[in-house]
Amino acid sequence: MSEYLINDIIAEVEIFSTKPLIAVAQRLEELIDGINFTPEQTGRFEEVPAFIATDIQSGMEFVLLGIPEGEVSDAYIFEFSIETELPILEFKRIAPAFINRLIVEKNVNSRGYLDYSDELAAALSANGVVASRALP
Amino acid sequence: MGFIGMLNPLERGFGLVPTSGRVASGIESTAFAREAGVVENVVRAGYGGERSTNGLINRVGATASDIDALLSKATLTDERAATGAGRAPLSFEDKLVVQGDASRAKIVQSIGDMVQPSLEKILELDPHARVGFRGSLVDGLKNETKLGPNGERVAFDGTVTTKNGKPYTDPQGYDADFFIISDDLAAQFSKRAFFKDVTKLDKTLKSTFQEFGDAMQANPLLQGMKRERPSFRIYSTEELSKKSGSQYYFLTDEKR
Repeated sequence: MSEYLINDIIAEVEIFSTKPLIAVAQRLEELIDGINFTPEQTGRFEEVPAFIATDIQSGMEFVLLGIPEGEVSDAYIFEFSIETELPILEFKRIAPAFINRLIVEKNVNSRGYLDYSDELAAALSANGVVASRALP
Repeated sequence: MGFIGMLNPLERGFGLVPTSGRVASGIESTAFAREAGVVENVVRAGYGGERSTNGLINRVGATASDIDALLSKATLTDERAATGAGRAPLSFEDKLVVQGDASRAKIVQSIGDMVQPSLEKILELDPHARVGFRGSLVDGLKNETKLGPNGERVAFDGTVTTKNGKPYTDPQGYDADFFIISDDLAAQFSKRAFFKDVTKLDKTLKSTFQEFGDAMQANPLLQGMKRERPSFRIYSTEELSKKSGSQYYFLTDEKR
């Protein structure tokens, strides 16, 4: 399968850490229909605490990354990603409703991704979860 | 390439190791490396803190005097040395580490060979990046949160019964925590991102890493390794300097 035939969808936002990580995970579950976060325990993110969820229908993976013990930060990182052979508008149809609403046709960015970070941040903020695109 | 900032003490096994002074390769020169035939590589790679011109990897973390102490322990695996007097007995943890040295050396050698395409792609992003791995495969022991049935420490390829005091139900096996030290690449991420996955900077790395993972899974030497696509975590120099444990660094083919 040729790499350029795969749509690589990604979004990465910061969510202010005014609430515990698990509370934010629960709020995201409420917003994004059909996902259930579980603590990541395989060590995939090493010492960084994380919750992960996968949407069965679309295969999208959602990750909420927390703040490691001993570190100081004012935000968590929330991201989703999916590699799909479907055209973007076909994929949109099988995505969770919350995600469906923010997916539009766009060009890949310089890193090769269809990046929906801005759209995700706006959608979360509109629903009371203050978020912003993760920027350097 | 030389000294990696202020180095961290090794926790166990080859361990000891203060953070000042020049770096050296460590105990591998006997039990670890000799059995696998990589003695020269490892010793040259590390001793004196300079990067090897033909070595596989560079182990950092020990001063020359530490190495003498480590070698004193290491030679206990040699029958001739084992009969000698005046050697400090190995702790349970040290024995675990030494017993696993030969297989670890072979595993590390294999990984060093198979990582080359990934290494080349990463260096296209930052030619000055340093790439390596850390974790139990380097230290010889799983971390202290993962214990065996009797509450004992577990070798890197051992069976974990409990984690943080609770029954361990996740897949058994070892992995390697691959990392990239690059201030330039780290600066492309939010400062709030603690786990900076390099594939976010270049989608094409995913397929390269997948091939690397596939190659490792197909290698019988690495049959105890967890089956997952390897990820390479970016650290700034400052971030890695805060980490405990030791690291191995890969050399590119042209420098081996």
